[in-house]
Amino acid sequence: MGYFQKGRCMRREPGKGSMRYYSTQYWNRGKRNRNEDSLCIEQVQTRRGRVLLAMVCDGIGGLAGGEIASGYVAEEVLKWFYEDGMKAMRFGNMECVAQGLKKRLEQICDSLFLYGKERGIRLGTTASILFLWEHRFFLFHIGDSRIYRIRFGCRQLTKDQINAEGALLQAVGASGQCIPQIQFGRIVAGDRFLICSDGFYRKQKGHNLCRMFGRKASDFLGTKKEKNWEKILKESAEALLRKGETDNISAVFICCLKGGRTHGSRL
Amino acid sequence: MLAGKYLILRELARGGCGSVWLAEDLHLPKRWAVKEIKKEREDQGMELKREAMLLGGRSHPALPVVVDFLDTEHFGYLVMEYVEGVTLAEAVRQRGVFSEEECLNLLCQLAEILRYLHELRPPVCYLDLKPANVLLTEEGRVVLVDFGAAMENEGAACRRGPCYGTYGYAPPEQCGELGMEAVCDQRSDVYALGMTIFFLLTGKDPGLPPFGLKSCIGWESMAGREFVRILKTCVEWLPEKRFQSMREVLVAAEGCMAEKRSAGVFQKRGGRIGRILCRVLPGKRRFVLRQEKSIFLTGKKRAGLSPFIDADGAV
Repeated sequence: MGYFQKGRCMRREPGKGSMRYYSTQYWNRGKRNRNEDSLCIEQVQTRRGRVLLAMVCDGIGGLAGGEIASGYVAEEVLKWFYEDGMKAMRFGNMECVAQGLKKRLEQICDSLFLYGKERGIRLGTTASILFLWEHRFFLFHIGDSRIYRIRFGCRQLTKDQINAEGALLQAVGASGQCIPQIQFGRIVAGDRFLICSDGFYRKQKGHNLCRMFGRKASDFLGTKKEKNWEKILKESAEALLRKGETDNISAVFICCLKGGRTHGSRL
Repeated sequence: MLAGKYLILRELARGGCGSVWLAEDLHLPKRWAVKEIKKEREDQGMELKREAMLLGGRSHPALPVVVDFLDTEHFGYLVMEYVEGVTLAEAVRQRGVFSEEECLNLLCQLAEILRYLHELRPPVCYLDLKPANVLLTEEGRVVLVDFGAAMENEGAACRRGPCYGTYGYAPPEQCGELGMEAVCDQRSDVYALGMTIFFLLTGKDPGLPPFGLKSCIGWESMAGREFVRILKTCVEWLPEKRFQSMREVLVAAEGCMAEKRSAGVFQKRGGRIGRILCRVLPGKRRFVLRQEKSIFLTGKKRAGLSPFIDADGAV
């Protein structure tokens, strides 16, 4: 049936409230001269519910202009979100939105590759994009950045697109086409997502993420929820720098909680 | 006590050049706003006097009435009508962004005041329009305050070369980005007006990095096509591409309002017909209700792809 299953739409169950998203980010160039990572978090309230777009792009350091590639991809995806993405959300469902993003990413990959070809340089970036819309999400992933979901444990949702030596198998802009990993899923209140570049997870032990981000959301009741998550993210990143991590470190953390009723239910 | 006539009650605002105080008239049952400037430089006293001359004798509901000017050795004081209200900047902080209809209304009001100033003999250019310099009263009326940067036209232009303003709201010719020979005139106020309305619509300060319209990516989806076109024309980089006068801005804004009123007729009818028309006519009913969070971090120095400039600045 493929990734896009037309005809499916989710009705919100009666009595089920909409979702609230708390998000925070960390962005540091580490010990490098420049930061070739780009990240963005966009959260909007629409007539069909709350939507969050989060993305981490890691420019490939071995190629020229890593920050240009990652910044360009992030800008273009953001433009798509507010233009065609909003139209797709207004009149379509989740699958329509994902289809639109896939087409746009192909165009972006093409533009970036042609741009590099004209100038005799190779640009490239990874891209891990998470799109949350009320109780559903989808992700698009190219490269070796990661998206984790923390529910009762920490689970890596994306597959690293690297070979045995650790070299990237594909990146946006490095060649004329890219085939992203696309995955759909459902969100349950209390779910947490972490999107991070390789600088964040490389020197991290697997169980650490679970320990740091797996605490109950109720541990952070109060007016400063986001500040608390921000603090954990910062402490974790600083620990990595002390361990000798030199790469740029980027991470976005999102916590999904039950919220009040808002507009929209059909996704 | 000031000059034996005014009793200073409290501070209303503090700026780069001085403070504004609330004062009670000891002879009349009235309160005034007193703008105080410390004369650290020779020309500062002259600036306040120029402001008094610009405002004195003018009669417009959106301009504060100047009643007195006091000059001492170390301070200059300008006594003006006290207007009760909050600045537009404070209003956005307190209640959030304005809707498209409210922004259109404020655009028309501000354009009308500026048109009045530009059509005086000699014309006066405000040159420091920003949300912090516009008071909004409870009745929804706007009042322009702080004429410290305002200038009269000397021939074809108010000023040649860069001059005092607020970065982000001031146009490129005022910031010196178009060269020393670029003129500041009525079109400079058009730019500042566009940026002010942009702030009211999005809540993003164009005076903070990333400056200008880049402060809010995707802001075009927050308003209708015509309104976005008006704002973009106001904030064109080159003065020749902007609206050439406030009259043109008013004509465009009134056209946009008329279009909205006619669209509103369909919506008010409601029912099945109204819903179908709203679906068929996108942009007439705003889909994005509010932007709750917007973070964008990148090491890339410029938007877009061309020309290729690496992080060290080499092309």
